[in-house]
Amino acid sequence: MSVPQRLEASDRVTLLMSFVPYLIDQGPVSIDRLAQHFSITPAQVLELVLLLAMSGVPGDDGYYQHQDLFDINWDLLEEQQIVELWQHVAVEATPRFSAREAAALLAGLQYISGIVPDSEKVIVENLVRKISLGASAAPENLLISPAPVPVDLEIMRSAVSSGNSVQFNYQNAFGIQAQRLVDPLRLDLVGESWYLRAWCHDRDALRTFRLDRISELSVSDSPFVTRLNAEDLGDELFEVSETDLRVRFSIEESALPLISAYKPVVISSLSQDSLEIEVAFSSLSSVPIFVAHIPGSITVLNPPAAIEAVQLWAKQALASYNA
Amino acid sequence: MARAENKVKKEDRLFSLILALVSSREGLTKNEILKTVRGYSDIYAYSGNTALDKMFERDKEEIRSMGVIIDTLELPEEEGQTHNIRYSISRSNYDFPEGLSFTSDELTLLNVAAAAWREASLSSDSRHALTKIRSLGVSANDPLIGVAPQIRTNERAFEAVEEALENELILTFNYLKPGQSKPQHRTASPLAVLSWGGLWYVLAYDFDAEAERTFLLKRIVSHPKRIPQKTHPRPAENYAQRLRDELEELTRANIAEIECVEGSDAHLRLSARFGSANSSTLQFGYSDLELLADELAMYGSQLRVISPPALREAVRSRFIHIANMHVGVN
Repeated sequence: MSVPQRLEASDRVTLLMSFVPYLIDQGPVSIDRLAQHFSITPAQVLELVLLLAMSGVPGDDGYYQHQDLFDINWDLLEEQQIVELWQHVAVEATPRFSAREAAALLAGLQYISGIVPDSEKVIVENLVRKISLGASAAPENLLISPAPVPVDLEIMRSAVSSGNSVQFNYQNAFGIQAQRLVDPLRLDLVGESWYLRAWCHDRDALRTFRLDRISELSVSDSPFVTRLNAEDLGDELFEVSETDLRVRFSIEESALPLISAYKPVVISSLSQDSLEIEVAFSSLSSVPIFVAHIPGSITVLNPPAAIEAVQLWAKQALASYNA
Repeated sequence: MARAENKVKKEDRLFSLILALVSSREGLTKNEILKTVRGYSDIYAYSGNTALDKMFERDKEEIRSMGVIIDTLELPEEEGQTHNIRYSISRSNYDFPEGLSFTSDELTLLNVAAAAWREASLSSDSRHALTKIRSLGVSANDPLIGVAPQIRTNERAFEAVEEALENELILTFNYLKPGQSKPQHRTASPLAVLSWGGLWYVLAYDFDAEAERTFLLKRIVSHPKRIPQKTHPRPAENYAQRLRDELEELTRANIAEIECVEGSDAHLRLSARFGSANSSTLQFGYSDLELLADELAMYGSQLRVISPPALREAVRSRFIHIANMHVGVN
């Protein structure tokens, strides 16, 4: 949100329409506050305010007359960078949501509703009702089922509010268990899977944990040790390190979106429908799981050790059926 | 190609059009709009009006997609005379309902909800919705712990399907049915899009089957193309809810039984999902056998399917396939 965004025409028109009721309601507001409130830069605010101040309704002869234009307190703007609306025309209320805007919010809300405790689920119900009421047409038929949260988030919240770390038992993908003490920073929901991004006391580093591999979660007696917070984190769940194993695959082009979480690098086009890609893994044992993601669409090309690992994995899996 | 050279920025023109249409009581004809509204009027005299006409048509669409409904008014005695159609925006359609407001807690939650689309097709729509809510004066609270959700879609297909859903369009695409190796060409009009159990489903009217069919978004393997000039109007219904009900019913009807290796990742994660059984044998419902087989195969030797036999076979054949594609190099 804090990254300055390039504004498209539709973004600007929406902002212009939204500035009007806000300025009418709030009275004089500084450029900086407008920027902060609407999550855009002060320069973008200024550009929009200047446009707003020149906007209006044409007379019958096609000329825009002063009394039919928006007007602002120009002195206040120039001297103190404060926006005060002196006159507005035609519109004064917040515009309604479009069917698609309402659907986007509703679907996003359903998707994340797992973070709302059961006792507060009424908030979600109220929001669904309000968003539908605020739309100018019936929201689209778009629905996302909630991704269930496998741990008690209240423990996480009370830890953060008291400034204490959490401890839990973590079992990694290979079944190895370890006790962890971490400062929880952010919860990431990717597709259906929840992850905890945290500062790990034992490793003295940022780590990502799958929530469905966490058990016996509790608030610890140790205070937070990191000064990082959620905004400092990037969207990459797992960092690629120099020591990572790089494996080349051939993959059907249509299957590429399905493995985007693995950040594949496209090396070349092998045929009309298939690509050569490279993916980094922390260990050889992660390769078969990746291949099994979309059986039949991915084949290991290189290194030979990875091909053998996949073959061994598949044979072991078959053994339990042939027994 | 005749192209309208325009010094007025697009946002200026669109906003001016909205203001003009809201303020006019009896509505404006297209000619009046093109002659008087900023962004049109300054090129009206110098250019052929075909380009201007087209621009106006596109602008109307764009304004509608921002949630602003443009009414058209045609007097009975002037029916068919398109140049007499009057356009206007009524305040009752434009204005956010009076008294409808949001609390800081609600906005905090909606910020997270909107962020879920940040990498996906509907990011600008959810951002616009938030902008409108913020204009009501409310500010969000600082959440206790940050939440960063990310909706994952097969973007290429999602965008086309979503647009077709909004505008009742008809699409053609290649569909690779689970368990088949060759895609089929399909013609369908989407009725609902649903993400359920981590997968995107599209309920659509299938013109070849002449019936409703459910598609998996990820198995739409070509770029869907719309059939030009054609739409498929449908009665208003909560199709997405109906699709979810159907999938839930299937899940109740089909039961799988698997045995996990004690303490394995499969055991931990699947029992976290399907209610904790302390035993290593788990039973749970599923809606589609091939999809479940895909998922179970990822756990390799950590689990073994006990029943039904068809699921057992589907998982086994995946391992055989993977093994055959990875013959050791010596």
